Amino acid sequence: MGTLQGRALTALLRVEGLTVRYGAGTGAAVSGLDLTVAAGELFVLLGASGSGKTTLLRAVAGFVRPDAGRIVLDGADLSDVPPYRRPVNTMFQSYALFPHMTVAQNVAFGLRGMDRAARAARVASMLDLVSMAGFAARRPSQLSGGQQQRVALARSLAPNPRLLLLDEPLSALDRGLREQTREEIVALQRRVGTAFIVVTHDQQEALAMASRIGVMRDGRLAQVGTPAEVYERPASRFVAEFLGAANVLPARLLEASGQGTVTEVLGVPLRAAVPAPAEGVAVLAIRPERVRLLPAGAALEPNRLAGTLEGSTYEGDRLIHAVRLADGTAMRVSAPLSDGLQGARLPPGTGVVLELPPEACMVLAE
Amino acid sequence: MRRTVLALGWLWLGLFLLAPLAIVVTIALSAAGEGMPPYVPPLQWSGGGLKIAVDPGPFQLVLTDPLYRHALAISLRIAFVATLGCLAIGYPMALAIARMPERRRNLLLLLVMLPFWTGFLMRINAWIGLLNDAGWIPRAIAALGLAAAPPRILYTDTAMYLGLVYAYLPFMVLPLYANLSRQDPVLREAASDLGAGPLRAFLTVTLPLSLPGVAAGCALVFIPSVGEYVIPELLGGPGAETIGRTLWSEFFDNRDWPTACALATVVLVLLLGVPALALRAARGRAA
Repeated sequence: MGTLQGRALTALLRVEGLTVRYGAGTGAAVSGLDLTVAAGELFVLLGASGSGKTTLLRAVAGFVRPDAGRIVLDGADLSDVPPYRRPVNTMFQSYALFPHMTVAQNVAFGLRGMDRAARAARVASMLDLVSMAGFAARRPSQLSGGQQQRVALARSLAPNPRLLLLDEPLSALDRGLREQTREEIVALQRRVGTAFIVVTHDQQEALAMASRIGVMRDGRLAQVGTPAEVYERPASRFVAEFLGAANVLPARLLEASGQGTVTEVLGVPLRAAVPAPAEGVAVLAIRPERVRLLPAGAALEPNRLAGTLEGSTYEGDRLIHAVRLADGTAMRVSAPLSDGLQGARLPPGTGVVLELPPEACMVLAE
Repeated sequence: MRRTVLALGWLWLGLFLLAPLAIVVTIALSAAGEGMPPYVPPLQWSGGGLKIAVDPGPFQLVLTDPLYRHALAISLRIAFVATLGCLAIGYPMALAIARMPERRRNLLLLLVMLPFWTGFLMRINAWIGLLNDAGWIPRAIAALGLAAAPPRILYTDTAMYLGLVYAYLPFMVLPLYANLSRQDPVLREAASDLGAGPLRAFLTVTLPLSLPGVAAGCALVFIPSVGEYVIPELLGGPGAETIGRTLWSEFFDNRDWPTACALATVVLVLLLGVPALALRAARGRAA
């Protein structure tokens, strides 16, 4: 799916320069946003609350009117199309099942214009798809949260939309059910082939589900890319810290070329296998699981920093070491428990050397 | 604590509902008599023994004489039309208020209730002033060319219905508003999302979910309208011989307390049936 980015792709949805304000004088919830989603994609919009991701979703569904910009689906501008004429369906965060209708009536609601037999068949096949075939005659109030979630999914998919919007589809579920449902949604999306846009604030969910992730911040997309791209090559310090944990060190740029970058961190030269950012003050970031912990005696070559172990936290499958560098900077090192010294428990106060491999170093704009 | 509150409730019901009811039923079972009060109590001490003299006459009269059935039919018809009128005006009002921005709703609700802050009779008198032959409304109708001369409105059914709908409208609007404002707006969005235009979304989602509010509002308008005395008396024509007016004339003109009380009891039993049915309908919807 990495080929999707930046190429001429079969765009299903194009959002161009979208700006949405709630009321005059307030800041824009979405400002000048551009986004392209391809047919068959599972696109995840990831952001903190207030980042504008739900507003973007509601603008695509037609519930909020853009102040500027266009939303184009299959080449047709949707700006003046009301929600009930858009070939787009939404699965609402609260599911929004009609409490006075049965499960079957809920799923059939979007199936107008079909004859009775075709509609009944479609309802049956949708309920089958989400393993709710035996519940057709129940009311939503007689279902568990997980069952309601499935009915909401079946209802939103029943009219066979060009694009399905899912607003925090897992947030109302128990933790245990969430992971299983996440996999089911991905499997379902593969099976039906409909493009999904999923809104979430959960980075783990985003990484696990997405074919591409759009990270949102302050009404704009901070980065768009595959999960691996966004995690391993974050475009900014914000993205690096929002998606997963990151150690961030102040860095002075010494040398930059197409092949790599050399920075100086605490007087030690650090080579990174990536180009430097075009502008802005650079910082060096590295994921805790990519830092290697060496004994105190290890030679202080480039890409190695000396520090003191302050303590270790046991997390079952790994240890999280807290290390303080000479200048006081705190670093986290995540080490799998099977891994020699990396995983061994050391007494607090032990001197250690941290190795930051060049291929793991990210040079980012502050 | 809970017991005390419950006991207070029962005490209230006992003092102000059951005791008066017992008195009314007792009078209804008495024979009419001379003096003050003008009836012979059915239980009396006389000559050292308890004398029981229950007179079923008033109940028989009320249940058989077509005069009372006629009055009841008129009252039910008037209450029915008034309820429909309140529903037709009150539902759109309640819906409009419920869909206003939150900060404006309270002001509008206040305006709905504002007339309650002035005297009821004063407001009915104001209607008499508006509706009489020289009043603004008949003159305006004539001035607009809708009629050759100012039409006669006061002391007709039209005036009575105007007064009833005017007086009872808040009892329709408030329960409907309470229901409609509690409906989750995301349900309408879901209907719209699934292809329902505004009319279909209303008919399939908003309206069915509001039926308990409709039932409550209709009961609150219908029940007092059946027994309404003042508005038919002051605004209506002589043909509007309602239960309220019949009661009044039995009680004050004929001084026939037993018949008046028997009539009141029969109407009460009928009217208790209406809210019971409405409640059952509302429960059935909610389930």
